[in-house]
Amino acid sequence: MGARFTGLPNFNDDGVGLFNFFVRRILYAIPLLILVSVIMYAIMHLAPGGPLAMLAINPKVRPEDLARLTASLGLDKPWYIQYFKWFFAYIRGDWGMSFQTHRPVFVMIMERLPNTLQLMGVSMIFALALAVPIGIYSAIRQYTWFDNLATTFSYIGYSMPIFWFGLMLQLFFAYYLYDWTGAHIFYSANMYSVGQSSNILNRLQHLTLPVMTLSIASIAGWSRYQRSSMLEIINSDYLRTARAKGLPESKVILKHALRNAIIPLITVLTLDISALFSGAVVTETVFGWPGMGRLFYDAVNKRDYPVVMGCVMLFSVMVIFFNLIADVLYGMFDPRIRYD
Amino acid sequence: MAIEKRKEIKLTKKIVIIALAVILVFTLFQFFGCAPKVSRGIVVGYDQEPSVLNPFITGGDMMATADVIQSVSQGLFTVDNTLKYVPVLLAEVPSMENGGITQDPFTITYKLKKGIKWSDGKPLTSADIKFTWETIMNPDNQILSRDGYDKIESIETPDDQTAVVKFKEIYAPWKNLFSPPYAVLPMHWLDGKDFNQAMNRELLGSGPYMFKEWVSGDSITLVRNPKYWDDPKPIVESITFKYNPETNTLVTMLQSGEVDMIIPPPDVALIEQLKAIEGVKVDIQGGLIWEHLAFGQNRDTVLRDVNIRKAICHAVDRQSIVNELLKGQVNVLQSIYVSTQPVYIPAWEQYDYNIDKAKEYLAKSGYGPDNPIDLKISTTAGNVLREQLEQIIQANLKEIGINITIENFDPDTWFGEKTPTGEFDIGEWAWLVSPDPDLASTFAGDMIPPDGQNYYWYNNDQVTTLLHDANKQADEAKRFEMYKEVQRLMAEDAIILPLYQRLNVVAYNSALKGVKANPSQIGTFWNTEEWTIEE
Repeated sequence: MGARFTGLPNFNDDGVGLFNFFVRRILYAIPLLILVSVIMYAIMHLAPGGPLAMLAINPKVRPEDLARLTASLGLDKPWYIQYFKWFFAYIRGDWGMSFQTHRPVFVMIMERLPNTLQLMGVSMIFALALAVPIGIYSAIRQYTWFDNLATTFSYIGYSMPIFWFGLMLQLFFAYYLYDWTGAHIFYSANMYSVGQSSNILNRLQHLTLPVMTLSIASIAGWSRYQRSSMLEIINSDYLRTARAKGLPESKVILKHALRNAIIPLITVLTLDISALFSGAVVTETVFGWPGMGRLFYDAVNKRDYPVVMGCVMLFSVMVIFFNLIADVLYGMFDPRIRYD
Repeated sequence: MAIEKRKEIKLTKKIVIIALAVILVFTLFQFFGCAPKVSRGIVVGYDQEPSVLNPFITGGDMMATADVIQSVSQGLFTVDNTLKYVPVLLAEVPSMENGGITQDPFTITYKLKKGIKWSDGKPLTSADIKFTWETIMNPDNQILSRDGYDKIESIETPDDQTAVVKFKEIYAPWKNLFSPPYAVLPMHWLDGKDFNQAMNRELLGSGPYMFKEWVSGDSITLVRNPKYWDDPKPIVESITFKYNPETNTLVTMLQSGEVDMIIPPPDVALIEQLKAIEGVKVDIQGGLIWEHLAFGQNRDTVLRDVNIRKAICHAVDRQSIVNELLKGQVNVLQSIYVSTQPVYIPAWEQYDYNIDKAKEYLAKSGYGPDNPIDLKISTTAGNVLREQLEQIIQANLKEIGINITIENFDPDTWFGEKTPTGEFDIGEWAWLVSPDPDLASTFAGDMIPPDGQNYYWYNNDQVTTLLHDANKQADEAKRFEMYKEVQRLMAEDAIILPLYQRLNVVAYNSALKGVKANPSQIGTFWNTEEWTIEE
């Protein structure tokens, strides 16, 4: 491994540096993932109660029944023995069976993942589509009414309690609009109306409110990011040269400045993309969206260890993977920072 | 610069026009029939999603499961909204008079009605009853509770309509067997399959509705059973359960007509809000869940002294609690049973709110304002009603010189760790009782954990004997007398203080007719064949 350790890929070689970079990162990732799984497993077992705890209030379930059920789920063994069983199954691709639904964890997760990707994906695209223009415009018209308004709304949006905001949106757009017009323009919850699973319009009507709720914090944050990175470069020499050469301002911004201002945002975005998979518990709860966030939250509450582990490992792998991508992208876009 | 400004205005205008156009398009679509036509089925907004449809195995003991399968699976009996056992699959109720019940050994002869069909057209026979028992007793199946079924010695099926069930000993709560939530299982569909898997995501039953589909995390749909064998025939075309854990969302969905019915938690403020919605009917009834104060006997505290317990019973103003927290929608509960049950007697009525009597009892044991007592009260954290309750009790007991500290735990810790080890002073929680009055596992002296659920560590020999004997008493009248005596003795011991019955609330579109709230475990969907929609 002759490459100097900068932590970033070396694009100047014939690809060997990049390959080494990937290999290094994956090698670091493996012990990290194992550590995450051990800690998660230990914490879950340390928490009081267990998957069968709620059976205690069922007067029909006798202590010998409880003992029998505990043994059949393998819960009578110490936690590290249970962990090893889980671990050796997991690396062979067997994610285990849910204690609650008796179904394979893999199937349960794959059922919910597309829903989450839909919700989070649309939210991210929507947030991006709004944040970038707002950020740019705020930067080039710094301290005008638009900028001040955008700033105010950013702070409000960033600190907005999602729970309350979601409920308010439901009240106004799902209920009041319906009351006023007699037609369902937006729906307050779930993915689609009864019997309308393939109707795209219906899906959009259901998606609108949760997407608006989710994206508000992202729009607020990302537009600030975009604004500040744009401000940093807006008065730089090369742009001044372009203006001096007679290039119209819109071309200066959109063709030259944007390219550089967007790099930090892309990094932030890539890191946030791992959230695409973990979903958003509060939004999914308020809007009844059947996603990963709720699956994870319910599983933790019911101490459904196999499902919890399946979700956590998925999230961890995604975080690590997208961190990797972010580093690669960053190195790719900005040649200056490679040899620090 | 002027050119730039004009470009900006043009852009803003464009955005506004596009936005308006989009909203217009949405609205037009609604009005001009691209919107889905609502079929004459109903949508129920429900908070918890079932884990499995099989009520016998782990994960299946939720109310959510029972509500879904109630319209699909049938048992020998059902429990109607007045808490009476009503025969469904049985032609008549077995009794001593008609020879259905005989002693020595205790044997029950079930006679099924003729012409009962599963929804796939096959007949339901006594062989299915026998198969159900064998499935429950099969050690490979992760059955939650074999209580009662393990007392059956054998089942014989001399003909398709008759099942002769011989018991090892007298089992008084026999009406619970083969009844909801445990239904009669279809042998022809389940034979040879793994019971831990076969009935989790689909169901075959003989009821007025059939299971159609389950979209994970989203909904479960039932459709009308065209081959339903009984009368009246179901009218509502389909019942779809839409799952939403957030109560506020469910209310909004009801208001905006996205769902036709919701079964919300009995929050009093919510009830007022629901009543105010136009076109919505709100059905309120006392449920079979009752809240109480428990005086733990495992820890060595003053609670082991009956005088202290009686003092506390007189010092807690239960009527005020019911008025303030529940806006007077329920009555104070005066026993370990609810007032609609035939065995109920108001045994705790003697504990009226009386500060003087309370102080007298304290004085008898040498306690009072100059010799105060310190005790803890505990329950599940995060339940607003219970927290308010604790604060009222704290204030009540301060008046007689008992200092209460509130110490709550999350439900898993409370039910998983504290109550099964008796690690509390005054505990507060709720019990769910079945229509059958058997409470041996809760209050008998030999049912202290880990043998049973006597989390009070209550040990009264008379009560213990009565509870066990009552389970062996086949004569219903004599049996009920024994339970009445149990209530008198427990009230004298003041081992607990019953507070109130939880409410059962169902809010639904007033166009839906025939709904009768059922407070038992059977739930709201016990008579779906009687529901109709009036547009």
